[in-house]
Amino acid sequence: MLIKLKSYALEGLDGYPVDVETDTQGGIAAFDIVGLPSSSVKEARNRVRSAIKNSSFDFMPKRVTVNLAPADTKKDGSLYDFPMAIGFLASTGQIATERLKDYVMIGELSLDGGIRRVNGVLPLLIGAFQDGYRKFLIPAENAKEASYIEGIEVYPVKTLSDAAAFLGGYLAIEPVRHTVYDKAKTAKRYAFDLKDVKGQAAAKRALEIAVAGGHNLLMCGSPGAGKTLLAKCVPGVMPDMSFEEAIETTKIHSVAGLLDGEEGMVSVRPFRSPHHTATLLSLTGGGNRSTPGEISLAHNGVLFLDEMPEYAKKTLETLRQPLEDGVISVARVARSVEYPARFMLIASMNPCPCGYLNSRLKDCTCSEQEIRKYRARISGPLMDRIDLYVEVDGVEYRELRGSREEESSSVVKARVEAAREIQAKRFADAPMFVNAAMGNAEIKRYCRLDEASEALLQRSFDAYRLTARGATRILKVARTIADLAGRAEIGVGDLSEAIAYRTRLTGEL
Amino acid sequence: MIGENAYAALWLNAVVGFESRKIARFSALGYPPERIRYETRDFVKKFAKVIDADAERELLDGLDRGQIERISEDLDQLDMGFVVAEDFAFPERLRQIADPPACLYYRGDLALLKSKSLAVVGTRNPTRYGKEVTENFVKALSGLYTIVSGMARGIDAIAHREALRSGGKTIAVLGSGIDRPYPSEHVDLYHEIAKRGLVVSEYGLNTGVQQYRFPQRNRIISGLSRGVLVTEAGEKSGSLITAEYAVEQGKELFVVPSAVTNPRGTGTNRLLVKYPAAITITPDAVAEGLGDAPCTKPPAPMQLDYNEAMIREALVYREMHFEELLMLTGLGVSALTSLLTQMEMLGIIKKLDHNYYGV
Repeated sequence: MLIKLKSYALEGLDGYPVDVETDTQGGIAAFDIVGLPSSSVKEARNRVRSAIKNSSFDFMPKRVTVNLAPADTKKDGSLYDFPMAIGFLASTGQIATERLKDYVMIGELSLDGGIRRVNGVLPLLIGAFQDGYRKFLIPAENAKEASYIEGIEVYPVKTLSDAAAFLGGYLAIEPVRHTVYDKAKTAKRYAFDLKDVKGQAAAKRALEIAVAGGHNLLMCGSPGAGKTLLAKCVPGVMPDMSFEEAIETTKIHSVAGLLDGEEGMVSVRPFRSPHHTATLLSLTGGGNRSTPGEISLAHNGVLFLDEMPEYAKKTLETLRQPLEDGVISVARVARSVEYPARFMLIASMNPCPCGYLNSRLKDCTCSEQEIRKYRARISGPLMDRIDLYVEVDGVEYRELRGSREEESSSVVKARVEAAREIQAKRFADAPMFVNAAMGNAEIKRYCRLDEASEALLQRSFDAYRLTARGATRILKVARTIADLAGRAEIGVGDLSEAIAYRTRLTGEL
Repeated sequence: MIGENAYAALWLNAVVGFESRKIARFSALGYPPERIRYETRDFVKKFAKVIDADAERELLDGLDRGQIERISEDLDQLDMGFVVAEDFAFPERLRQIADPPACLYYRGDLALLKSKSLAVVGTRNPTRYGKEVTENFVKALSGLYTIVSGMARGIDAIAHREALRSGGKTIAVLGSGIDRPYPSEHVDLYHEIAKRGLVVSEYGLNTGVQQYRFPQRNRIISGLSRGVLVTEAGEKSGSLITAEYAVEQGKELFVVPSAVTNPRGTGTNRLLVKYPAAITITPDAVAEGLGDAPCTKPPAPMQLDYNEAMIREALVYREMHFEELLMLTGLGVSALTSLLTQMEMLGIIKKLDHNYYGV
């Protein structure tokens, strides 16, 4: 008998429906899977056979053909195990067929008949929902993930027998209950708080501005000054993720297999810090299975490049595109998959290879040439995308410590969120969310200067050999500073503060 | 193109292989290049003891005009020239030193040889203090004098760069061949000086680099100038040799003191023990020592508001960190940052590394 079941395939974060057709005929026993299956899909026959037998069903010798349609796309993953087993059972008359066509089925099978979790359930369900599907049978281990989607009926199944019984109408299973996404719950989850960082007033301020306006930031300082610590505080200062952002981020983590089964949802802004020896592939994503790379995992969060000059030039070069567009194209053999990659870039560096140039604590041991070569590694297109530069110094202040109250991350976050509100209103009809993404047209419109500020900007052109590019960066930052202060117009104070964050490393500013 | 009168000198230097000093000595003993050219046999016989076999062979072969013209063309191709002591462009004060050069290769503006010059030399590994002192002095004095130095690492390079930056003139006296800037990291500086100033060397095309040539060129650095300023030097610094040449040649010597705990200032301090009158603490003292009017203008009185005045006064006393200034002024981070930037733009204060500020 020919049985047709519905499953789904994931490609990147989108997918398409897959028909699992099972046909059983008489003849020499065989179990053939067609439809361009990958090796793991082909192996399903062994899992299906054992799972069926160990679920007290019969795996009689028949000539079985399973077709995964459409037949001209490559199928990958272990999620077709479950529908293939149900297909066989139905095709051999071991379970009733009336209800089968109503459900989309996905799941991996254990040899003992258990149904195991698969990656990418959330994006898969969302894709299927958008394609009009409403009823699903998924592994119980993936239930939490699925609970955040409204408007679908998702039945978690633990074993093949349970599933068969459910489909036959003998077993009732509770559909997964919708969980409401609660922004407020996320606040406590950040490990690093600004109030634990002593001093560093200038760097903290730069961080606040960076997060408020979405500006990329470069920190320069000697080893041990606290650059990494400050970077780790950033996710706790970023405004809470909206539901849409959380879904987007969770989808990516789901595909990468990084979802924590307990929570089912990534509600905390991601903080990714790949080591500078990481391969290009791990950073951008790709490979055989098009897994998302670090920059996609950092989507809606922070990508931290510690010791930026140590990264291979080619690697840094590939960041240019996503910083510009917010997406990365990952090429596969037949087609390419696009993953979102909109992140805030924070980079750190030392002032020189040994790290102690002009330090008051230690002598620098580098030659002029070494310093020049080191600095040359950070120039170029990446520096163009960095709006803020700040020095993080390791100076000790025994007299100052303890006498200052350090603000906690939540206090700073409140200011950041207020500034983001202003930007949301400003860009309501525009394609951007934050000041950092403004183009020349928007800068002209929203960053107008009064006479005194114009004069100041002109003076800085002369005093600091400012370039046009440097000026646009300063204007965007000034806009954010004014937003943080709740000012509608950019004032002299805002502009002069913005000028302080220009880079002092390369010749141009 | 080089002048006719220089043909013989070029022959002796580039072909026969006599160093410029040697040619000068022969001149002093009555055998200038022209005479050697036309009375070669006698010359070779008379000075056999100090002429090696290769040189003798070349001498006896005679001057080949074609060869000299080819060398001259090579120099032209590289924008280089050759000048002898008899030329008008050769400054009198350089002819007068003991052991003068008979000829020089050059690249750039030859007229600078006769301008009012001040040599600025020092250690190859300066401290921030040494850098600052050199920059301040050169900035103030480059308006009055052409700055002469050796294009070595450290103080020399800083002096040349600051002179160029301030729109002044500079002469670099190389210890290497005229076509071979040494050290190699300074190739940009070399071209910049050749374009906007003057580069000279006693050594011509395709001559290698030899250590003994560096102290030798110091006599020319001193010889070209009216005075020598040493801003920071360690115990064994080559700039101390230049200082001694200055004394020997009767030039004014100016030495800036260093902190006694600074090992890279031991040389300059010891010089001061030897020549107490050379102590110099301001650029004006240099100008006055050379018989000129003071060069620095008194600073225009600044209009500062309460906070600016407080900050400036504190920073005049010592450099301070951003957070110390926060405590001092009681201003917020944002307000202080803008204020400091504005003060910096007006030149009232300076932003230093690691979030320190100073004047």
